[in-house]
Amino acid sequence: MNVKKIFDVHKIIIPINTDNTHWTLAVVSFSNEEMRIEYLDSLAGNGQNDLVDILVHFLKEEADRLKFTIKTWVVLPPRNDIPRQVNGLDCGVFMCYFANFMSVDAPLTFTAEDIPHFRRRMITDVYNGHIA
Amino acid sequence: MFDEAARDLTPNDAYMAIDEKVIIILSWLLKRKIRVLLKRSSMGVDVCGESKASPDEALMYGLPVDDSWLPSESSARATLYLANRQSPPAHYDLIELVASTPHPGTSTGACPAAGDRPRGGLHSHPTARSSARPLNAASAGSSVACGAADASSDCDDNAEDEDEDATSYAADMPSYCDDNANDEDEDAISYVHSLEPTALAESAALVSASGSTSYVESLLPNLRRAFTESENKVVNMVSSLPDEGQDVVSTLPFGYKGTNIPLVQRDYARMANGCLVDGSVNAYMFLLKKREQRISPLKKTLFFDSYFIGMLFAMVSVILLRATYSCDRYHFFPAICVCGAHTRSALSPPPFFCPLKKQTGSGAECGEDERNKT
Repeated sequence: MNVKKIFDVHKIIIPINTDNTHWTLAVVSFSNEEMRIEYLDSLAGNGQNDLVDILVHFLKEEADRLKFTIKTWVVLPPRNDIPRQVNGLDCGVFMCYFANFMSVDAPLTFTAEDIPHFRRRMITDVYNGHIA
Repeated sequence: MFDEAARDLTPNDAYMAIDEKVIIILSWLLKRKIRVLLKRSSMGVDVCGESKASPDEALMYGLPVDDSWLPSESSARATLYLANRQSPPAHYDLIELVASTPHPGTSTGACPAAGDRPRGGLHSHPTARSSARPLNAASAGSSVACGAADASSDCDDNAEDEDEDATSYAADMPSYCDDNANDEDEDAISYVHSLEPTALAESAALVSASGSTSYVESLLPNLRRAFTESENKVVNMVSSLPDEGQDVVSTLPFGYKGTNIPLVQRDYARMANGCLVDGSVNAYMFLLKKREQRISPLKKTLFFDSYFIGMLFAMVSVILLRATYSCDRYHFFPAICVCGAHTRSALSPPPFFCPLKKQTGSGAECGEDERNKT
């Protein structure tokens, strides 16, 4: 795969490290000339408006520059139906599994109780260099 | 910073000449840096590793880039306004941001427990560890994969040279790698490139519906399945690793052009318990990309690494600072740019982007614009 331009993809997954204290995920998806930006925060934050705004404007300018037609830009409000972390340490694992599920358009059906198991799964995946 | 040309200038002119020179140099460095970072922080994009560099690797070795990832000047202007709604932290220092060098430490972590808070208000600062070790690891005999999924022997020729001349390695790689894209991928390229956005979305739906539905359904059960004996051994081994350990545990080819990046004890320890660090996150993003290539080869997802958004934000901050830094002094030249009323303390968005105008030789327009507005 040789993606030369940012809009030659169906979806963009962007891990966000906020001030070295928290991991969240931005997901940009394209559908019917609509660009949809979703922000997933396992701590139910209010959306990191500055970062998302900058990201949106970056994408808009890139779309203009690359003559890519996007009629609608949608920045979805923070979702309330996503799994939430119950401690202060799991944000990175949540973020990685948000990316895992969102990249295949799977519903975010896991819970915080899955995270200890997911941590071990992540270890074996990374160690073996392969996600089953 | 003085030069012959500045000798005959008035004091103010000389002062400006110095500033001008500094700004031009910093501007060049900044553009190069940001271009590399934006380009290289996209992970697993290209079979030949066009976009697999860690930003610190790219910075350290001055890797070649194209302009496709550099935001246009208009993009900078748009983001300038956004950034200007908030004052950047006082410790955001222009010089440090533009000319900062990788500093020792490891990949930065999230969460307060992660430590290693980088300087200058930047998070996920590129670090020295992941810059240097991949090359050592590669030259020590690890295979250098040409791409995420398609390790090619054509690329191995470069492995031995990496330590000695990383720049030439970077320059040579494309010619090796260009031939390595397999037919499947070539088909995928032309297919995707020929589609309109609507068709792209439809193809995504088709791919999703036909190619990976079963995978989606089995995703959660598969993640929840019990571990095998060998997997348990790995988990147990990792559980005993020191949290700050720097010994290499394994490597994955998510570095520039598929260079192996070492994952150290700390990366694994944080996966076992604690806040993830950049190494863990970026390795996982790389694996997600590999998985997609396997289960949905037609679907194109761009997985950025953890440096992307931070550097985008930093770029905006630097541009903002450059504008304010310059405008403080450009009031000496009202004919060029009337920015005297705009001060660093005000931090309101300048009416236009004077320094860039000036540098591109269209300073007169800048002044005219301003006069028209006033």
